[in-house]
Amino acid sequence: MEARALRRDGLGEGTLLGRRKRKGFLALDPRTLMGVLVAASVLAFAEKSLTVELCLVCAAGLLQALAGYPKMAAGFVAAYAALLGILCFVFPNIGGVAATMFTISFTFSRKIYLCLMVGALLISDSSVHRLGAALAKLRLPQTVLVPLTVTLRYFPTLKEEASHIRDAMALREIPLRNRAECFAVPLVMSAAQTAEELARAATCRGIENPAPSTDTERLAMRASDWTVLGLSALAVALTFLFGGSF
Amino acid sequence: MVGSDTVSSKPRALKGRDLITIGIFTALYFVVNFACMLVSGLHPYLWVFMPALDALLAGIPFMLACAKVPKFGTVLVMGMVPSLVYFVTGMFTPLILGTMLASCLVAEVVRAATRYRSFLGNALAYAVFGFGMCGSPLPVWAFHDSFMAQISSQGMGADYLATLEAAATPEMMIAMFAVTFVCGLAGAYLARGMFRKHFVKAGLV
Amino acid sequence: MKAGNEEAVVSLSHVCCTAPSGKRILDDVSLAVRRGECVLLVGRSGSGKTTITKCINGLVPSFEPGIRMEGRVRVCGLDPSACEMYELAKHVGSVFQNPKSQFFNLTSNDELAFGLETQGVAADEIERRVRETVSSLGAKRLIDRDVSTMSGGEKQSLVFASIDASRPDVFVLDEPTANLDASSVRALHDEIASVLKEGKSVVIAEHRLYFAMDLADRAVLVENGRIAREFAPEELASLDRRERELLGLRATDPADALAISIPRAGGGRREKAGGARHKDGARQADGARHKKTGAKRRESSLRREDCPRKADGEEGLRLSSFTVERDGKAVFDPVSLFVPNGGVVGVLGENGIGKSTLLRGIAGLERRDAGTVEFCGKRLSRKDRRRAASLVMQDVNHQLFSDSVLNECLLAAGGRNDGETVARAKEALAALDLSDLLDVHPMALSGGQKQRLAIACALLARKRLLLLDEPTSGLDFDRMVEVARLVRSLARANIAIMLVTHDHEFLDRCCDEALFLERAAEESPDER
Repeated sequence: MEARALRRDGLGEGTLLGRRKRKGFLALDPRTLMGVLVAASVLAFAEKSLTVELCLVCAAGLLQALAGYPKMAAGFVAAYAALLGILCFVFPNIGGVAATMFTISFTFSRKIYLCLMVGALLISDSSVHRLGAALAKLRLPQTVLVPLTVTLRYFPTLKEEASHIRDAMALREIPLRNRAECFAVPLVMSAAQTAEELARAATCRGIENPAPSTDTERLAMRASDWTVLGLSALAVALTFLFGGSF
Repeated sequence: MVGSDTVSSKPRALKGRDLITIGIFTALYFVVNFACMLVSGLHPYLWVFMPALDALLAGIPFMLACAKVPKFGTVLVMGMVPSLVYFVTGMFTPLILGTMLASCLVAEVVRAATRYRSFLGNALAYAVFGFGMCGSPLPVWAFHDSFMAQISSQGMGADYLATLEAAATPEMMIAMFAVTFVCGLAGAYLARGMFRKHFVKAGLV
Repeated sequence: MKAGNEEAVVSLSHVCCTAPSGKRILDDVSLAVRRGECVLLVGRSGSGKTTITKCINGLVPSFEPGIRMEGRVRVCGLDPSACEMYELAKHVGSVFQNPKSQFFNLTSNDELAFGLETQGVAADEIERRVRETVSSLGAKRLIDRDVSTMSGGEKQSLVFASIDASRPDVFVLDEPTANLDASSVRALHDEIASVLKEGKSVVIAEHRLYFAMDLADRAVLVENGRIAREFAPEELASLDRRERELLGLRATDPADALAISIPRAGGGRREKAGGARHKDGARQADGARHKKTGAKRRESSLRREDCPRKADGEEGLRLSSFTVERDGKAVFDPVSLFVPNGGVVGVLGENGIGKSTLLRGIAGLERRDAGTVEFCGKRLSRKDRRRAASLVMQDVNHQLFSDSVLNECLLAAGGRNDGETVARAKEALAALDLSDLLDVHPMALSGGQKQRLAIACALLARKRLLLLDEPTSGLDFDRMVEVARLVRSLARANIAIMLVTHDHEFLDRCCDEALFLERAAEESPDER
């Protein structure tokens, strides 16, 4: 009966809230991916041989593919191969300015590559709202959650405002020495105004309500989540025990 | 309960409206910060002095947020939100999360001690806040051996390693912190100039 | 629609509000709104309409600590000044003027759920109520959207729907249509009608009266902080034009408000450039009726400047098959028209059709365009156009950069600070009624003053082509007439003017011709 009602109002199948764009073989809770991210961060600076590193990158790629992002997985693995190639074969042989400039940042990227992979998966797989719900479940206080949501929500607006200001400047032949100020001042003014108006609107809608917010994403940890977490922990343990020796 | 917001300097808990104000200014801070992070990839020295650059440029959003929300927690939120975003996107190591948290806490103590409204107090808090980003290049020293080992295993020449070794001396680390601090104070003064020229006159603060 | 139930949902008795400066914003206002009733607050800008809405939704006093409030306010049994805002939020929902700064989430579905989420209502219940709202308001177009890509009208509808999802008893709307075009206004009208049918109370403070005439049970005229008069809708509608305009009110009859009596533009090279003359007659009549002293001064002191161009060339802006391209497709149907120096052309069209894009394209701000733009007989490249044109944006805050009105002008005049430039700047400011504000920060000016300052900057940069984007959004009758008069006096100073507007009363007052922008032919009509 429920399903019929849904079809009649023309809003499609399933729930309106917590709808997800894409589903892969594994539908993971954002908390799981955050856990994997922690594991990846721990692994970043652990001592590991090339073989182990390759295995880990492939494992992260497999996770991305299973979660429904095979293209992302292929891209990351290919980029890793390219990165490794540049670091081990190109830079040492060409030397010079480019090598000096980029070696350290490429090396650093290689170190945190796993984090980047899991991070990319996490933000592609979950909307801001979903991430917020997950962080709320992890007991992150509203004091951080609300500004986090506002910050992320403000980025598109900020981009738009910045382009309007750039346009206005293009029509006004501003002397070079004034440019930075002429750009920053209206941007900050508009941010302050948005802050004021948004605060009014949100307060009028009850944002100051101390009651815990509803989790309309209906997050739940399933067996697959625990499995992924368990495997991540295992990977960390194995890398620390044997990572350097293969 | 209400109405005394602008008069009393007694710190109270952050309200919904304060959180929104902080959120918006954090977005501005984040943009400056992200731009600095991108630039820092260009050269080892830029990386080491990225926190200083960030401190020099991001004074306006920080000082405005402090002026608009003179309560405990403003700086803490302002530091934690970008950290979380960076962490979630895989760009932060636990090390930098730690330095961010520590520097925010110290900055909060400075603000509380100076009762939130003094320029010097906020400037000092800002300078301390800048140390948070020092956690980004810190692995160069903290994981010095692992870094060097990897780079030499990648086959870089000895002269490059020597350059890098020069950039990774303890002296450089001290220089990084010192320059960041000074740039933080300079950034706060820069922001004060903007306050006087624009924001106060426009009725913003 | 008339309420059977006499219970007052909102009651203000003897409410006085005093600003920190000592100015009385509200003076002994008493107002009761019954369940199911729709009350329209009308009157000039600054009369106190908005403050009345703020007393109801609690923003006075909780967001205006400087305002001292006396008197008694009750909203659904609550005292807004004594209860928490989130308690009040369960009973009162507010829609504000600016659609950009009212949403909190990035996706529309989450926004619809937001109010109920903060209350901690169970997820299934939220789901049910959001569905109900969407189907009862006919708001399916709002589902599954990325909020940042929605038009202003859609955003405003989303705000309204999100509020309706939390089922408040009272809706308070403060100039909700200020930034909307006719079709979005119609959508909002239908949404309001739908909640009225469910027995909710609605309070609307608004300048555009025509859209709310059939919704309102009564209209309350606010003047200088007092309730000056109450009208039944029929009474308000039967006011003759003179009487209505004396009260500072906009047209009440949709037929008047949406009528266009000026000729269509875009006939190519054939049409003559004489429209400006006959329009000036009407302007004089307006001027006489409203007896504004500033206008006379303004007219005489704006300097007439001519195109730097031989006599044989045409003086003015000519567009030939001009359009802007995005993603390889034309945004709107190519436009061909001629705006003579001294002429004013108004651009009309639905929200999102590309009216602002047309202006931006003419000003050389769009990356790709097709067709040609000539000014004073010379074909202009995009870069030339950025030098020749000035654009007063809808949000004029984006284009004021300096720390004082005078410095803003000097910056516009090329960053010089010599005696002659200062004298020119002061002359231009005097012509635009800004002489007393030389040292004020541009951001501390009122909206109208900012607009005039932007125009002063255009004049000082010696630009002969002026583009205005929605110059009258949210203005009351008097201010709209003032802007219309200003546009005419600029035209008399031999400037070619093109303006985008959805305000037909304004269009009729100051434009010689109207251009109806059409959707580009190739574009598929699918809008998800």
